[in-house]
Amino acid sequence: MATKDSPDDVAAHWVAHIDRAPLTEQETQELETWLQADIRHKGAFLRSQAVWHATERAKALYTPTLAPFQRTQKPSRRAFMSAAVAASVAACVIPAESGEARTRYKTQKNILHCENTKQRQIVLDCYTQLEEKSEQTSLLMGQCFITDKHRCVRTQNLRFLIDGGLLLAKGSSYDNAVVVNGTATMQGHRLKERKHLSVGAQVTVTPQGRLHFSTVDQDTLARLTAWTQGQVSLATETLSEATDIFNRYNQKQLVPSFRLADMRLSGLFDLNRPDVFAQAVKAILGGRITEDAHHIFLE
Amino acid sequence: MLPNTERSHWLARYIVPNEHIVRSWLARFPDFEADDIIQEAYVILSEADISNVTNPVGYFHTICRNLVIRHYKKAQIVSVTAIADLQNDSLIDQTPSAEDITNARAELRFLEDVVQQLPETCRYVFIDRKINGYAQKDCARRLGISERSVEKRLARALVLISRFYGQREKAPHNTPTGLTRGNKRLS
Repeated sequence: MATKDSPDDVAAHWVAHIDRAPLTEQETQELETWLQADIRHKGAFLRSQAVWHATERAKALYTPTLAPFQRTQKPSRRAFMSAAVAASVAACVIPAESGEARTRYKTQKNILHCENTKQRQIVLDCYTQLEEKSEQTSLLMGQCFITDKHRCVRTQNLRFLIDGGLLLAKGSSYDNAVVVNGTATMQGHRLKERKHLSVGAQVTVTPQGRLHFSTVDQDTLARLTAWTQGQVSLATETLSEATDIFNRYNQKQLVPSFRLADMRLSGLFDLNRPDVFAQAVKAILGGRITEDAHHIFLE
Repeated sequence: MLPNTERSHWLARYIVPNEHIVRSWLARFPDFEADDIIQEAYVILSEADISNVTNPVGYFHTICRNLVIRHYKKAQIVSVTAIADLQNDSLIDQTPSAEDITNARAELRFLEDVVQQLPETCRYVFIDRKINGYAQKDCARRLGISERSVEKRLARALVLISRFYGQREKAPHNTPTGLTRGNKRLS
């Protein structure tokens, strides 16, 4: 890569020289001349500077011989009393759990994190309805990702006791569930006995009402759950299919031209940034972007 | 647009640690130097509006890919195999797989290894300047050498570290470098 007097060599010398002391006027002129001589010189210099900054992280390797004295601070009396008062107020307002309590969540063009604790996580995809009761969680329509311990989760046709993460989908003619992490125990639906499912297990209730079991790999799991992170993972979908996905989540609608609609692309994209996706399409598939207040046209 | 120092830190954070991924992809085009493409790509990044870039490595790869296409268009003789490779890459994934996204701990481990591999003379200067945080003048006094020597050794260390970044492999035993297509790695 860097041979004697290669651009990398010269660039590194300039970076080290600048670190030693500010450049004189003459040196600034010399550097400028060298940078202008060849675009690769400028690239090598920018890269050297970036590597120099990247090595700043090495400071974390610093191990002082004498660790500075650290005082262990006890809370002041005032802080202690404030905390005690706050705790007593909190104790008064925490509602008692009721068997009748139920909460219904509904999303439109958005992803909703309705629970996000260490043990429990519920993320709703767009156009989803979910009902929470004290004893179980029911998905009424759409798609959700639930992580919990010993929790009963169900759709109209499927019922699970989960101990980990489950991706659950309910359409008009099918139900689908995938164990993303941990385990799940499936109950009901004419099963003679409970069925234990591990990571990657997928269960589908077909429109004919039949149960179909299959397994998905880690890559597919990551792709299926990308939306929970606000991302979409495309794996050679057509542009037409990809824009349909983006349009479900965004007010500004992507409109591909007839020429581009059947072209395919892969990649991980931010679901909430159709404009960035449009730029990627332009870069990868070629074409032109025009837009008005409500649409981005890909031509 | 980001100011220059901030941009350099952006390059240091997002591009330098993942540069090897694009470099290993560039290795399949034997008709020109990967270094030339990488250097030109840094120049384009230095002039682009990167404030809205959400996928820096993907963006960097796209720039390099466009440069490769431009080089082939200029070339008189073009390798048919290389063009076929390039056309297949129209579906290449714009994002490194999860294990390729550098986390702070892996980065620190990498730097620790790199420092250990530097020649002794460069290593002591690098440690004093970049880890212990002494100015070059103080490094010279502590090591009993001239400031000019400190500067030269630092420059040498920088060249070597640049080379390590370009050739790095996160887990040489089980993770082949290479880009991904869809969610599958390409060797």
